[in-house]
Amino acid sequence: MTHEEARDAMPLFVVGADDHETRNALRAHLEDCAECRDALREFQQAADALGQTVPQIRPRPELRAQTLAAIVGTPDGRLVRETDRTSGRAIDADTAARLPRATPTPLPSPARDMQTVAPSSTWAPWLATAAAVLAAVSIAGLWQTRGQLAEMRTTLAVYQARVADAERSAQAAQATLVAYRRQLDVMSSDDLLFVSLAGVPPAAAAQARAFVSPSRNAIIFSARNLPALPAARVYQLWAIAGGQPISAGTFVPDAQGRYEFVADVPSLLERPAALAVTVEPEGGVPSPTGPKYLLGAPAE
Amino acid sequence: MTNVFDDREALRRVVGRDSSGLEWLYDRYATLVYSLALRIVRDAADAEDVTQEVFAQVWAQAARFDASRGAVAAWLTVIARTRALDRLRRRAAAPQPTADEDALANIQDPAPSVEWMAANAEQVRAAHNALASLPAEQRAALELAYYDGLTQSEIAERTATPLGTVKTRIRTGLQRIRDVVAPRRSEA
Repeated sequence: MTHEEARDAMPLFVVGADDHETRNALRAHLEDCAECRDALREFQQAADALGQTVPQIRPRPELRAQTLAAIVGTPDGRLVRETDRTSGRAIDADTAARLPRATPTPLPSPARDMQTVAPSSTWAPWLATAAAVLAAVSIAGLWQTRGQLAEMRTTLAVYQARVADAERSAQAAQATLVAYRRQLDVMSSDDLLFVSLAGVPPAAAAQARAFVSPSRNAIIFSARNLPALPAARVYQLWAIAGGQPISAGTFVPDAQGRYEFVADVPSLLERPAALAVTVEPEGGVPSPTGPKYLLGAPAE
Repeated sequence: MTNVFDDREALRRVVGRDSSGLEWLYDRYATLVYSLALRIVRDAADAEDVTQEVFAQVWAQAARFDASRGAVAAWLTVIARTRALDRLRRRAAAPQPTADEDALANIQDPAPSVEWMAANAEQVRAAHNALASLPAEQRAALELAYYDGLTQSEIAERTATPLGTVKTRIRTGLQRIRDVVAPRRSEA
């Protein structure tokens, strides 16, 4: 693996999205390359930043005592948890209510304090009683307010989580919509060409269809019955225009040998003489090197 | 016992089986750990379990942590993500009912600011802005990899995008975040 290949592999490595082969090659390279280890550290910092930019939600206060009690005193840090928690299941409200909560430290009683310092006046017992009642009411009120506050916070947290979910769904829907619009735009272009691609041995059973629009710089491509790829190989789609092969992207078909996509091909400016699919090394190549598996010319 | 404390001193105490070190780390980082876990597992009870597991791992492995290799926050971020993704995968392998919303409502306590966040606010905000300013498809590819633990092939399948494009999106997206988070790199 070259330095450049290592740099290319790092972002996928630090987010854990790479394949085993690239991962092993990168690890081997890092063993001997201090410069690339520095570069990797920077990418790791970027990945860590992803983990640190999520909305900050404080765990419920009781978790602190539970966590510390469960860990400290066990030499190897093995957790000792309540039985309800070990199942990993979401707990219901009843169970949540049974979980140990931090016991509020009793507040010093103003009534008792007053009794100890009160002058021996006949008013004193009355004052003490009134103070005790006031204190009891305000403490009860305090706990009630705390309870309400906690409730409001939890409601807020639930809505925060829902908004985050809704944002993700909206993003996904937006992406789908953009893709459909793009397809519609390509399909309605004046210079739309239809290309039927036939399989070439050893992929004689493979078939593909494509709609090509040079004015939209796009190819809508759909293939089936493509043979499974050897390790570290991808299919690459080419448009042959002006005597030059133009890459329209790489792809890996599903288990049934199917794949469809809309390729943006900015350098496709004129009617292609043919489309072809070749087998190439992962990541693709600038011009075709591998065997042709599919081939076809635009219909007149 | 002194009140002057930093991550290194806290870890030293944890290694010496002094629980005040663990308490200090918990107070400083529990929100960071819990929030990331919650983002990944999307269930408050599971996120709590992950939080406990992370601090249990700190208690067990503090001696092995090499402070020269990085900050404690980064170490905890990596542990939290790994544990949370493990839980996510275990849950996917054995589907279970999703969280009861009432239960969820009982056990969360949102808080926008904690000490670590405050101390690193500028860097976190810069990274947040960098992430937010990425093109939607780059951001989605990064999020599917980082928070959902999908591989490049799974992302390609999920988003019906060529594999090469997925790799380019993750690469370009993370490079832009790196340029903000680690701007003093020597490479052009």
